[in-house]
Amino acid sequence: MTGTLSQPRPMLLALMFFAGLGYLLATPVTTGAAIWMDVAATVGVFILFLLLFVPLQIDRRAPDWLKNLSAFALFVLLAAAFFRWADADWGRLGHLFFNFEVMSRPGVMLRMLSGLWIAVQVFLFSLVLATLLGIFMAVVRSIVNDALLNFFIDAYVDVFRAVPPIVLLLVTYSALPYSGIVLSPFATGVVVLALVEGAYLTEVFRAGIEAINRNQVLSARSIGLSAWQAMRLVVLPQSVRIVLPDYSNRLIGLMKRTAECSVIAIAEILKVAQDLQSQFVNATPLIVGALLYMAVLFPMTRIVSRIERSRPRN
Amino acid sequence: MSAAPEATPDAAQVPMIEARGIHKYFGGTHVLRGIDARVAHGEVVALMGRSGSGKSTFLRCLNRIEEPSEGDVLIDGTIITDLRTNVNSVRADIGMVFQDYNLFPHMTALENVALGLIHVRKRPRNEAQDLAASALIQVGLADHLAKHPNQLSGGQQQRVAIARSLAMRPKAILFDEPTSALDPEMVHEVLDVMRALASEGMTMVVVSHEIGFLRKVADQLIMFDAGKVIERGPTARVLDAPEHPRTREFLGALK
Repeated sequence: MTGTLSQPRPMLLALMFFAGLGYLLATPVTTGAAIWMDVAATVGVFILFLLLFVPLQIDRRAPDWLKNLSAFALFVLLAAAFFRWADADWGRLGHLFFNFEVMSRPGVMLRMLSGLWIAVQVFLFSLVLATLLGIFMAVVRSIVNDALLNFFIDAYVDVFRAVPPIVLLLVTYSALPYSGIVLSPFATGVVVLALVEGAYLTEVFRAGIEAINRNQVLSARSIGLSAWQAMRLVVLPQSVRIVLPDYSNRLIGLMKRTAECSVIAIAEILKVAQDLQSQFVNATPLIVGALLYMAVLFPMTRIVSRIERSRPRN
Repeated sequence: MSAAPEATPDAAQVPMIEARGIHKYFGGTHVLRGIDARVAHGEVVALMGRSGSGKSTFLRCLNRIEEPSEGDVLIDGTIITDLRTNVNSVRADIGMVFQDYNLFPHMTALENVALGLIHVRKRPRNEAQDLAASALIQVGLADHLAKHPNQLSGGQQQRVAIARSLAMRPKAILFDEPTSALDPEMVHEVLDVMRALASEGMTMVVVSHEIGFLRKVADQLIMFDAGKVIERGPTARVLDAPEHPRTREFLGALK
């Protein structure tokens, strides 16, 4: 029963792909009574394709590039089916969302790229601050372990995890001028994101510290190491490996959250894209902005999933 | 390790370790109810008793890994249960070996042993590594210096733990059931190292139920029951002619 159907057949899959693509793109949409045959044929293309596609995807021996390529082929078929059946105004859509002329006007791509650079700067500065904050809070909480201090650290963590960062950004940005504190929008954005991320990272690092057996600390202290030395030399080096997957996941989230800084007029990707959109009455800058985020985040997610696979067991 | 210090009349009288009226409470439970003990220079003292009798807690009070609730501990005549005492330097002078070895898994055997020399004794790194290597050679692990704990057997790990204490040139070493987590065939290699240490004059306090080993090595045996010392005396005398009914019961159950 599992015999013939579960065998991966890449050549047959490729043949099915080109046959399906040819049908979907080359033949005109039928009108009138025969339309049900056309619908059935379209559905049939996908059923046949999936019957060949699924065994390849679940086969452990199949190489990754083949799986990726066949997944891309499915995506192309879906796009072709959409193109065939949707009653869309393709010309207008292309003009509004994929307008090369708008993007090639002088200075436009330069502004987009400077937005990317600012977003990366917000990301890096807040990441460094949040990491230091998180490690500091978690280490102090573990070593000093004073009831009052723990209360304040927990309160910080709970408050900053309970408010959406975008709200915090707006409140801080609009309250600052009246508080006598002068901060540029960039600095405000970095500080707010660092405080929010620091709250999450405090919990991430705390979990990493608590995951280390208490006997490790006892053993380190019995040699004569101080509590800080035991933390630095024995606990933290072991925590790092435990924490790394969670930490790198938070990192991706932080990069995406830099987009929220557009609400306080930091000229990062989204803010620049929206400005250009209203200037040219054209949405192509938003599409380019999305591609810029992908250009940064796609490699990041690949690296993170590689790290997750190397997560230490036990 | 150097031989036992010269037995001057002074050193003979001042015990290496002395415990005076140690009490310990965990929340409302009274786990140690006034323990006194004296361990002379170069003496090996065995602590026995059923689990929960307080022997391990008492051992941990001797280097303040556990803080005594009441009472004093003196090392070589100096009170260490004093708020002004630098507890870290006290611990550096008293080795401790745990039941489940507690080696640092992210370091090699050599790094495990050198850690205290570098960061507590403040020795230069290469000197510390030389001292660590010679301690590991002393416990018979010359071929395993660069291995991580997960590449070593239980017996080898426990010998690394002993070397880690030894390298600090301690005044005494505390052993907390050093062989009870080991497979039977590995027990002897650890006991052999401990026997060699004892014959070289190391002061040792050992929580253990290895009767045969204790009979040969331990000078004094202290029996714990319900947080109290119920019997103490020369090891052979306590083992062969126990006076307290609970001691008889306990030793009978061991056989």
